[in-house]
Amino acid sequence: MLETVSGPEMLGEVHQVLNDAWAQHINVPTAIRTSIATAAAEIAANIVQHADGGRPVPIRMEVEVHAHQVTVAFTDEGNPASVDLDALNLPDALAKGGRGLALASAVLERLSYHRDESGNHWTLQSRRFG
Amino acid sequence: MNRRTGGTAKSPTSTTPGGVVVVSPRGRLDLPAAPGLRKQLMDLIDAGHVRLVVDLSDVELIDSSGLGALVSSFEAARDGGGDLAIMSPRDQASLVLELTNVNRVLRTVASADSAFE
Repeated sequence: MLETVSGPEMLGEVHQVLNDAWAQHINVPTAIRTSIATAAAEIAANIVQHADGGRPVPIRMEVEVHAHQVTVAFTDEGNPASVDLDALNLPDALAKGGRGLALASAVLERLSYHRDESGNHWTLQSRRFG
Repeated sequence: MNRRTGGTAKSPTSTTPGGVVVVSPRGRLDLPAAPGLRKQLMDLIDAGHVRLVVDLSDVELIDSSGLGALVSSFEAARDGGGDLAIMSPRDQASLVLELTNVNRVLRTVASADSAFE
C-alpha cells in the first residue's frame, strides 16, 4: 500500500509498489505485470494532472494479488473527475494527447471509477490468468 | 523498473556517419520524463537535425505522455523535411504503440543506419 501526495515523483513510488508486489507474487505473468504497470502509470498521471487542477492531493494506492487477477485501487481527495469510462475512444494516431484513460482501459479487464465523500476511487482489474 | 524518474536529464545522443541523430532515453518515458525528451527532440529539429531515431531499447515503460512527445516530434521533423523513427521497442512499448495505433505513423526501424536509406 502507498499513501502519499500527488505529484510527478509519485510515479516512481507507484512503480516501486508494483515491483514489491511482483517480488512477493512471482506467479503473476509478465504480460499482466506489463498491463497493470501501463494502466497504473496512466491513472496516476491522470490524478497528478487533474485531481485538483494539478495541485497536490492526498492519494492512496492498494495492490491486491488474487489467485487469477490483480486489482489496483487508487483513492484521491481531489475534485470529482468528469469522465465517462464507457465512452472512451482512442484519438487519431497523430493526436498530441487524450490517450491515457483509453489506453488504461484497453489493457485491463475493467477500469472503473466512482466518487463518494472520501474522494475519487479508481479500480483497475487485470485480465485473468492462471 | 527503478525509481528513477528521468526528470530533465538529457538522453544520450549519437550521430551516425550518415548524419542520423539517435536519441536514447532510459528508464520510464512517462509524465515526469516526457517533456524533457520532447524539448530535446524539438531543440535538435530546430537546429536542423531532422533525421532522427529514438532508440527505445532502454525504455522500461512508455505512457501516453511519452507517446505524445514522440508524435509531436515526429510531426515537427516531418514539417522540417525529415522524419523520426523508433528502434528496438521492448514489449511494453510495442504493446502501447500498437494499442494506440501510433505504430501506423511512427516507423520502427531495424537500425539507425538503415532508417533513411
